[in-house]
This record gives sequence, structure tokens and C-alpha cells, in this order.
Amino acid sequence: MNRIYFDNAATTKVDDEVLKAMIPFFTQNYAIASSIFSHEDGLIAQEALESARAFILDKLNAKDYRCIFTSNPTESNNLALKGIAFSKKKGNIVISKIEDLSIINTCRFLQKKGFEIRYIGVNNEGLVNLNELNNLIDDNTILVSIQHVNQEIGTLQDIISIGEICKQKNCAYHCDATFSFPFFDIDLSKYNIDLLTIGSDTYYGPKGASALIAKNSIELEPLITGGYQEYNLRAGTQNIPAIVGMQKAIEIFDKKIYDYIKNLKDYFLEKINQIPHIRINSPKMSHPGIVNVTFLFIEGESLTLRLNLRGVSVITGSACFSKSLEASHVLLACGLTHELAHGSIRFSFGKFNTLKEIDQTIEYLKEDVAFLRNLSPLYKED
Amino acid sequence: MPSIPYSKKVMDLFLNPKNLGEIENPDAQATEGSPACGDMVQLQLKVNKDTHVIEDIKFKSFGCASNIATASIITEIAKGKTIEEAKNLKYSQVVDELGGLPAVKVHCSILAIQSLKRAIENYEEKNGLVPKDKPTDEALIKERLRGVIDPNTGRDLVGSKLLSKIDFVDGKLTIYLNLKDTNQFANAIKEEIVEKFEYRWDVKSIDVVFLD
Repeated sequence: MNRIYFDNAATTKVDDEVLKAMIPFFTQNYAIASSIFSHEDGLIAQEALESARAFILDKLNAKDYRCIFTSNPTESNNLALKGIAFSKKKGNIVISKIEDLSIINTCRFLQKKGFEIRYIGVNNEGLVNLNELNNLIDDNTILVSIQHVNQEIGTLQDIISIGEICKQKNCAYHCDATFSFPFFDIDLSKYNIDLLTIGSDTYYGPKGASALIAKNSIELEPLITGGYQEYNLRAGTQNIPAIVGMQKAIEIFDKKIYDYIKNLKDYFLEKINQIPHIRINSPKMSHPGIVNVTFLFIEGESLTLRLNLRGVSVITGSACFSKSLEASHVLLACGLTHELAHGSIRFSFGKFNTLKEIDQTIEYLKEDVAFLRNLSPLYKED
Repeated sequence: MPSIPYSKKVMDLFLNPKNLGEIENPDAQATEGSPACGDMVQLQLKVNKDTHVIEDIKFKSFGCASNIATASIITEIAKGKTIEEAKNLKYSQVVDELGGLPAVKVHCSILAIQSLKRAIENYEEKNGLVPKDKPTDEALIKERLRGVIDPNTGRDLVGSKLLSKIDFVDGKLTIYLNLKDTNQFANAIKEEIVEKFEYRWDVKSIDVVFLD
């Protein structure tokens, strides 16, 4: 059975061209990157690594920045937050309530270590309140961390204004752009961003590569110590095949992919209206491929399981692990009731999806939503 | 192909639930859980007035696959039993009948049992069969804590030895658990314990202390 994969915000299939670029670094040029005083094999690897680094910095127009390669965006986010905190030793960190868990749980960890964490609320579209941000930053703020695109509902933050505020307040700004880059342009010569996290496996690159782009003037403490790789900030053998793949994925990404995915999303949004009693939780200004929908009167996990049996992969914001475990922190922060959050499903489209797959999924949804509503004590027929 | 972590029986009942729907003029009913918790079961009963045998039982459910399956199986187990027999059902019997449940889903069987007990209480109240309320003591506290499932292990707090100590002095109840407060489910377990005692007439305050 050909499965319909609508979980592209979690990770994507690797593009064939990306894979082709990676393979020689497993089979031929498999040496680790090494200094000019070692051997030829190490130099080939070193050159591939440094050319990927230069390419990424150039792509982001990042003149006075380092490109620190890590294993995934969670590690990049950890390096940004803990790296600054351990370097400054005290102070407060300001984050939004809808950040990824790699930010939220890292802040909880830092709170236990004595740092103060300040949370900014969001409106019903997931946008942070800039006045509140302005008020929350004070002389003791060592870092503001606000994402570019939200992982669950796709909200696009105004990172230019956020950067401006941080600059005026003389405080460092970290932006988690895992879900936005390279879908949206980021120009570090214009935006006031001191630290930027980018990934690889949400735009047809491989897993195992990510980068923290850090301004030269920002002092960081390393989290992993050992050899002298990555500006002495991240010891350990670099994953060169993945880094080469990441570079290739950025190279071949273009506006056409954005437009193709956006067209899928628009088509889905039009068709989903055939199902009554729904709520679209994603705002207009959002990621081109992310749609979050609540199907009223039913619980998300039942629906994702039924869709899974049909061959459709989607995820829910509901976590039924225990009687009182909270639903998605993102949807609750946007003001949704627990009930609405429990019925939410994220569909995320990618360049390998088709309109036909959407048609098929809408037909499945009509049947499965009707079946579960018939079961539900909350649903009374019109 | 990797399989879904549910038994064949759970999947069968999820896809084709038994005794689904509502009874016209039921003799008793109960709705347990809430949509806010993402877990809700409604049960309706027809009970023979002379023999107290549950002659018909139907359910509706808002929840995950194991919620639907546990609600469905409990209607099959309860049908034909007297209310006294049905009252003594244990969550472990429900789990066994289903061929097991993943640890994080065992709490669903508690909800199904609670719904059945509440529906029977509803029947007893309507028919003047209600027993008098006893004061809170260690036995009652333990009994209720057997209704709180640790999602880490799928076992109740007493059976899993997560419960370390109970203090109940002058209406102040303190429950000590052998669990770190950083555990993923610590807060959920605490909330559930509070829920079990907050409406007891002789419990004034509830505190949960995480040891270790």
C-alpha cells in the first residue's frame, strides 16, 4: 500500500539529488576532517566541511557569524540557551509560550540551575505581543529566544520587529528557524539576530545535521568538550555526509517548491470545508505546508489511528497518556479550550505530496469523523 | 510492518464497538471524565427491579482507541451480572479481557470501571439503596489510590509500590510517593490524587510529596 505522508513538518523524505551528493562521503571520502598537517583524505573532508560552512553563511548573508554544525536543531537550541547562560552565569531569559520543547524544557532545566525564565503570551493566532516583550526585557535579560515559525500551527513571527526591540534593549536574540528556513528568507545583515538555529531534515535534507549560526561577538560555553572542532564549541567528529546533504538541500530549494506546497495547502483548506464543525487553528500568515485543524466533538488520537489504518500519516496535539495530562501547550497558549486542543490534527504537506492524495484523505476524513462523532456523547445531530 | 501497540481485541472493539448508543428511558446513567481531559465515557443501564440484574447497557465515548475499547468491553462484561457482582469488577479484569493495554493507557480501564460504579450508584440512589458515608481512613485512602494509575508502569500507585507513606491528621492528607518531581507524569499523577479526595467531606487539604 502506498502511504500518504502528511507529516512533513516532523521530517521529510531525502531528495534523490541530496542522497547522491552524500554517498561519496560514506564510500570514498569517508575520512574525518583534519588539519593541513595530516593527510590527503582528511583534507578532502575538511574542504567539503568548510565549503558547506561558507555556503550557509553566505546564504544567510552572515558576515560576522560562525556556523557551528551540530547533530540536530535540539542540540543547536541547547547550545544557544545553555551556551549563553553558562557563559553569563546569571540573569533572565525571555521566551514565548509556544516554543518547541527543545527550548521550553531547556529553560526549565536552566530555571532549576538558578536562572529566571520569563514567558511571553501569544494571541489567538500565536503571535507574540511585542509590547509585552518590550516590558519583559530588563538589564538582567541575557537572552530572548523566539522562534520564526511555529511547529504545530505554522505561525510566522515578526522576527524583524523582535530583533529591533532586542537591539534597542541591548540584549541578545536567538531565533529558532528550524521550521522556517529555507521557506522564508533570512538576511542576517539586516535582521538583528545574534543566534539562529537551522535544521536540514524538514526541507529534503538528511537527519543528523543542523547549525547554530552565532555572531562572533557572542560568547558561548561549549556543551560537549573533547577535540577542537567547531570553533572549540562542539567537540566530536563532524557528520560530513549529513552536512554535505544539508548544503545540497539548501542549494536545490527554490520558490517553486514553496509555491507547490502552498498550492496543496490552499486546496486542502478549500476541500476541508466539506466537513462540518471544524476549526482551522493555523493563521493566514503561516508556513506554506502546515495546517492545524480541530474536528469538534472527537478526540485526536482516535482519528489519527483510523487515518493511520487507512495509510495516512498525521499527528495530533492530544496526548492521552494519563487522565489529566495536558493537551498541546501551543494550542492552549493560543487560547483554545482543552476540548478543542484534544481534537486537533496537524497536516503538513511537502513537495512529494499530490492533490490526489488530498482528495483521498478528505474522503477518509468524512467517513472517520462521522464514525467517531456517532460514538461521541458530546455530539448531537443537527 | 511494525504494529500498533494495541492488542487485536482492542483494535476490533475500536473499529467495531459493541453496545454502542443510548437506551430510551434508562434506569440509571453516568458520565465520567470530561472533554477537557480528552477522556469521557457515558454509560446507561436497564436493571431488573426484582433481581437487580443488568439487563441492558449501552455506551458512548469521547477518547482514544483504548478509551473506546474499554468502554465497549465493560458493557459486555457487565451485561447479565447483578449490580453487586458488577460493583466488584477490578480494572485488571478489564485489561485482561482486552488482552492487555499499553502502560500509558491503563488509566482508561479505571475510567470505564468508575463509570460503571457511578451508574450503579445512580441506580442505588434512585431506588433508596445507598449505603451511609464512612469517615476517611487509611483503608479508604488506599482503596482510592488503587484507582490512580502510574502511566510509567501502567500499575496503580499501591500495587506498584509508588506509594511510600500516608499521613492523615486533622483533615490534612499528605501522600508520599517514591517518584522524582521531574518525572514526565509527576504533575498528572498529583492532579489525579487531588481529584480523588477533594470532595471528601472530612478532607480539608491534600498534599502530594515526591521523594527521591
